[in-house]
Amino acid sequence: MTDRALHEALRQQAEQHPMELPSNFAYTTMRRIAKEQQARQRHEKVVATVTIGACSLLGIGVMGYCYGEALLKGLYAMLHHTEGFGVVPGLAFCCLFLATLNYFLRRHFSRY
Amino acid sequence: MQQADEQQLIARILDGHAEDYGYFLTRYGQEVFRLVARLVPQQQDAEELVQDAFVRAFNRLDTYTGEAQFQTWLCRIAYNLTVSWLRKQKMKYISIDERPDISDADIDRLLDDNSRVEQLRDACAQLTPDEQTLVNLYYYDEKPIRDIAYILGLEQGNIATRLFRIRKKLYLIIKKTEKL
Repeated sequence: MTDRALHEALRQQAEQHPMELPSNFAYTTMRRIAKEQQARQRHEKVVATVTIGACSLLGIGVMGYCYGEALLKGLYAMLHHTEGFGVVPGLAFCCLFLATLNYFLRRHFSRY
Repeated sequence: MQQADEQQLIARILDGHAEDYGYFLTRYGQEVFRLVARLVPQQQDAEELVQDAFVRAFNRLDTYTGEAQFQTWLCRIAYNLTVSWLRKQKMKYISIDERPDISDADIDRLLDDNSRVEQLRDACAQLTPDEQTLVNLYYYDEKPIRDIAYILGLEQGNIATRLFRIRKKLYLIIKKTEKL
């Protein structure tokens, strides 16, 4: 079977309605892809923030539920025995040091 | 660019160089558009579908395994999107009773007869989207059976059977028109 007439019919059909993509097709598509990427990144950021927030709240809730009473008792005990506050300056210094380290490391590695 | 080079380019895109995707848009845009435009009569609709296909391909680039050429993979995505779009448009296609027994010789004679070109052109327009795509990919683009099967999501063995049925359908459409 050669189906010459069918070949010719399809060729004519294609030539009858010659349609071409506009010259800016690649540009508009790339722009759309960039926009969708940005939107997706934003969405992922929001989802991550919400998830972390929810997990943190859940964790605090669980801790409070399981150890709340013990923690409160400890806090009361600390308040009544003022020498318990002796550890606070040390802890504050540690926190400050870690926060500064975190800041500098982030600044340094964000370039890579 | 060879398939191996394209694989490297895809790896680069997946590595964050999204701007390199422009190469595929320029290289295969027209081919994918031709495939879609045969099924979708309005230029604007066809353009949107091609753009959707390229965006979808970009978003699923990590699922491209290289089992087919990249352009064939793109054509498959575009074809599936177009068929879904056409389904939503609820377009009506002619249905023909294919039971009548017709000899292969009669079909061959009709499809070889150059005086029937115009009738065949009209008959092709009445085929369903998958039939039109199959006929165009096989006769006009002269793509290998393996690629046609991949684009249409069919088994390679089914292509010949389908082509035979389409040829018979074209014959029946023309005969039906002649009777009117």
